Amino acid sequence: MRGLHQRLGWPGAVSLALILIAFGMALLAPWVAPFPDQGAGAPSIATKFLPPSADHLLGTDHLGRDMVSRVIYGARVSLSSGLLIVAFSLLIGLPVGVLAGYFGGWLDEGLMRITDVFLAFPALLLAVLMAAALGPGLLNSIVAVAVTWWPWYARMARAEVLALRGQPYVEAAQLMGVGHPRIILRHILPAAVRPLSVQAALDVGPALLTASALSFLGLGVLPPTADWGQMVDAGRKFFPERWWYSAAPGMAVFILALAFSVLGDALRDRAGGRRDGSA
Amino acid sequence: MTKPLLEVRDLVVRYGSRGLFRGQPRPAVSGVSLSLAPGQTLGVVGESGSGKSSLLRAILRLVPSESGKVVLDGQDWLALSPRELRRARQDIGVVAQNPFLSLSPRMTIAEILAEPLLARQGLARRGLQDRAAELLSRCGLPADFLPRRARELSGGQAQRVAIARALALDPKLLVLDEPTSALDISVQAQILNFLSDLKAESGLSMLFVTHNLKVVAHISDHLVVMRNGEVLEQGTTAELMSAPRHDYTHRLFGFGMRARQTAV
Repeated sequence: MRGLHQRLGWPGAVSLALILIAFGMALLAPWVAPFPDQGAGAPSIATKFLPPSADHLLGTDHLGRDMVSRVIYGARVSLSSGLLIVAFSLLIGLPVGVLAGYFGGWLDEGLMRITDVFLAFPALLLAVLMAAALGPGLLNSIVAVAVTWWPWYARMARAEVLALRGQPYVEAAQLMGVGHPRIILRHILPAAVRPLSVQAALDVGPALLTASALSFLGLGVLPPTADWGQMVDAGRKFFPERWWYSAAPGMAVFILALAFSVLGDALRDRAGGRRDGSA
Repeated sequence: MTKPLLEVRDLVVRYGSRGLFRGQPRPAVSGVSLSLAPGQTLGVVGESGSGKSSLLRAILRLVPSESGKVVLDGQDWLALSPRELRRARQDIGVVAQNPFLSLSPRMTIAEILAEPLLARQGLARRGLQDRAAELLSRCGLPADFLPRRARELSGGQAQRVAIARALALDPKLLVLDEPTSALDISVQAQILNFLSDLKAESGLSMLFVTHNLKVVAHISDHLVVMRNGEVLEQGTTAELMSAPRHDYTHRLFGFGMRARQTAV
């Protein structure tokens, strides 16, 4: 078997490693964070606004909480909102796209026009409006972003299904009198899910970036829960004297979003090589 | 004369034109009539673009027909509701051109052969494996193919699996759409012989569509020669082979040999 770096290239392999580390830290936050209780939100006024040092590598915030711990706890919110946004979007987009592509006709027209309506709004604006209407909170911000996200999956799923519908083995099942639910579940979905799941995995990055943008605007998770977007916003008041407050979560968002983007490019290049028949 | 198993009368197939100001396109099938008696084999022959595939797809109701009638075993086939059609389709076995495309790449041979059985019986799973093995042996394949996938088989073996699947529900009619065109010459002969045996043993009625007249000549009782969506001539195989009325039919006999010369 070839090494990971050979298949993805160095940037892709490093990105994948960074993403896995972020997931690992998020999962194991209570054990890897140097000050777990502060990461979870407990204040420690005596240590407030300490600059980066050996004890607090990224300094402390206005309530004296260790920034390393806060950033690690923030990864939990960011990654889980990224994952849930994609999951919710698939939950809506996949059935819509599959039904539209499979049955065609007026159902296709109807569903796709609804999809187009959602796509007609600028995504972030729609998300902000939705979040403002629903009120702050983790779940609400996830729903708000998912509302802008699902149409892409609906369109992708539809395109996949349209291509699969014409496959002779799908036609053969139809000619054997196999029912529509079984054809969709046995023949269409297993083949359509693979390209979609790759896209969905890569979308976790942009999704968490959007969720961070919402919480930066005060429409996401409420304190004391750690969240990168909201931390950047809180640190803004103390910038540039206490630059580390905004810089630490800002860098975390930047690195993770960049890692997802680079990994996506690496996977796309690889798929491109396949299509040309070079692999 | 006995009542025909399949009767097609004045069938017209026209693919819809898109756009408001486009004229109506020429029909792909314009007024084709043919009939197939039980236990007989009817060969439909024509070059690509002759409308033979459209005719077949219309008979199978994969594309809508504009007008005309298709009667299968006394049933007005084009009038069936989608629900009735689903049941009725189980009376027809279909073998497509390329077995590697018509057999799902994600399913084992056992699953592929179980699919038509499940479609008929709902979820009665008893005896599925035995029935699948029986079908395989009927088509000259060993039962240890069951856990394998189509891509692990040779073209001829895979096409036998496709035939086994088409026979799974004891169809009244076996429809073969260019069943040998994707196979090597030597394998083509094997499949054709196998189909002849099948016909002799079980008195199966077959509708055999191909561009290669020679392939279908030794298995068909009757032939229909199509060109430009119309039936050019039809009759018994012996008649057409000994005295083709049209030069086109004559040329179709030489298709395999002369294709290269005419192409240049």
